[in-house]
Amino acid sequence: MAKPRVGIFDLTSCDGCQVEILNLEDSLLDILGKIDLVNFRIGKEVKEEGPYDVAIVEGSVSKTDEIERIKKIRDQSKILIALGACATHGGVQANINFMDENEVKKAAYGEERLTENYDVKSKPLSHYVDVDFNIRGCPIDKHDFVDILKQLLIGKIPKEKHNPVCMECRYNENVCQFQKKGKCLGPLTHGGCNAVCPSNNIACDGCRGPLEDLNLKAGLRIMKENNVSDKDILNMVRKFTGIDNYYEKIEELLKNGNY
Amino acid sequence: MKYTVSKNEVKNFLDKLSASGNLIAPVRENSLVKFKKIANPDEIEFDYINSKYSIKKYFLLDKEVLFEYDKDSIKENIEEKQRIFFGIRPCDVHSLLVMDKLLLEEGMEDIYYKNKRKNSLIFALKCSKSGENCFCRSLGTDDLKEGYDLLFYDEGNYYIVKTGSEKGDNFISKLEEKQETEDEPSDPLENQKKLSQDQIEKLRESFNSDIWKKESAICFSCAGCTTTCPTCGCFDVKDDPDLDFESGKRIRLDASCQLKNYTGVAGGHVFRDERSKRFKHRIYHKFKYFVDQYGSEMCIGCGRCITNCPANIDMVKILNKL
Ligand code: SF4
Ligand code: SF4
Ligand code: SF4
Ligand code: SF4
Ligand code: SF4
Repeated sequence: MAKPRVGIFDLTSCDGCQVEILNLEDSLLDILGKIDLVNFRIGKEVKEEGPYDVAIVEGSVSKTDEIERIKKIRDQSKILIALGACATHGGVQANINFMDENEVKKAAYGEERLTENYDVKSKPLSHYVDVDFNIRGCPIDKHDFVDILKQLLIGKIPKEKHNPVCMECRYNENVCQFQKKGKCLGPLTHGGCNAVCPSNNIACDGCRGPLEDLNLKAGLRIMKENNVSDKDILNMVRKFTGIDNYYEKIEELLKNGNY
Repeated sequence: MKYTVSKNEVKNFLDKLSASGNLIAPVRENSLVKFKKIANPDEIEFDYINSKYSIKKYFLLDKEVLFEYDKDSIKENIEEKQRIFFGIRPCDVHSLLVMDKLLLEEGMEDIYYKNKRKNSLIFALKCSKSGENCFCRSLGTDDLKEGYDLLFYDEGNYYIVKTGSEKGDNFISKLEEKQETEDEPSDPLENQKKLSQDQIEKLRESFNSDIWKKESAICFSCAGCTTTCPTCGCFDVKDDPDLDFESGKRIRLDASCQLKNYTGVAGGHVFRDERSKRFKHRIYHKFKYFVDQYGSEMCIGCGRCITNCPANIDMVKILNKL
């Protein structure tokens, strides 16, 4: 059987998730024995055109030309995987979705480089195209990358557990941030990171993205019960998440005291 | 048999056990009491309200390699090492008896659990005071008739020790300063949450009550309750092939009925898609379905699902509202 053609691409991002792939070292060579890696800017010279069996895309769509790029990659690929928080739900740069566009543009690119091409809204891939699977986190856990490829290579449909960070937080026998009168996005956030932040006594900021089955009102209620200010909640929420209407919805619920 | 044993003698006894490297006991770590392997018996916390996290992690792990395979063979990952648990509270010993019903049913034994269980000695320690969420008295799990090798009652200056197995007898026979006794140990537990059988019975008419929707409105489905419940044992099984695709491992992972995709089936249907249905299911499993199947409650009244709920959801309060 021919080896599957795999391309790794990047849009607006810091390359950190791709670096995690390079960090795989030993197992990376084993993976390269099983796939035909035809595109990987930071790791390989070759750059072949599609079609691809699997496209793995890091970064959010933040410029107008990236809209065309992601659509083209989607058209050329059987399977599209979003790599990292930027690709799955907007990433850190999604903060600009909630700031003054012109200010941000000027600060980022300077007056002279400002062109129409910079549409500064930062959107996850799923805003423009269908995404088949997600590899979550900022940065990703490199083992998730290996795992999803393995599942695909043996012909299985990769399955996400959809568990909140809280579940893993419990395996680590932590005291809950809320019981320390703190704040935390753990109950609203996809796990898989082994609850690394609360296990180091830091609140979860939601870098793995909002759960599909989250109870938003309950999350806001408990934050407010713990005297977390609206501003703090919104700052936490927007840190990694630029999904359509997510921040806006939370803002409205908070404003109306509807939680 | 029942003995009185001095505290000093018990300390010497634990000294010897910890030297064996197999002793697991409660230790205070910052604000929490956790079960840990003990190197020095001075670490042991004797006077504690039940631990926030139970001993489940020693019997049913959140992630456990069941076996490793290659093209020609399967290597089972069986725990053969003997372990001695000191200081387990009676409710948690009951949780093991509940797990036994689930995992040691004749003909369907879970060999991974079975071996861990077989190689574990249980030296239980009766509570002198209850935690704010304890309700063992209501369920009759505050004391033990079985399930222990030794059972210690703290009587102030000395312990009353009951033996519950031949192994327990053997250990006791090695103690020098001990005295057989007919005395009944004291029973100081008070100030518990209360849950009556009548109240539990009400579940039978409450399946369609709107209470489940109402009470689950603040639930995150975060699985803090099931993860920390010592009698929740649901799991998922996953294969993790090595990259040569000729060898690999089969892994068991903790699962939770509070998660939506837990009841997902091929084709995408989810049976308990609504949060309130999952919320209700946990309580019905503990207090009705299990009772119908095995004749006693699955819940052992440890209160951990209450203590560990980020939303402060209190199952006992809810049951008392029925
Ligand atoms: S600290 Fe955060 S992640 Fe951990 S249990 Fe509490 S809310 Fe959940
Ligand atoms: S705990 Fe939260 S912020 Fe931290 S790594 Fe996990 S998902 Fe990301
Ligand atoms: S711990 Fe509380 S909030 Fe989390 S699933 Fe259980 S009842 Fe719901
Ligand atoms: S349901 Fe709650 S009180 Fe009952 S055994 Fe489980 S954690 Fe303990
Ligand atoms: S539930 Fe009962 S046996 Fe368990 S810790 Fe509380 S008082 Fe002790």
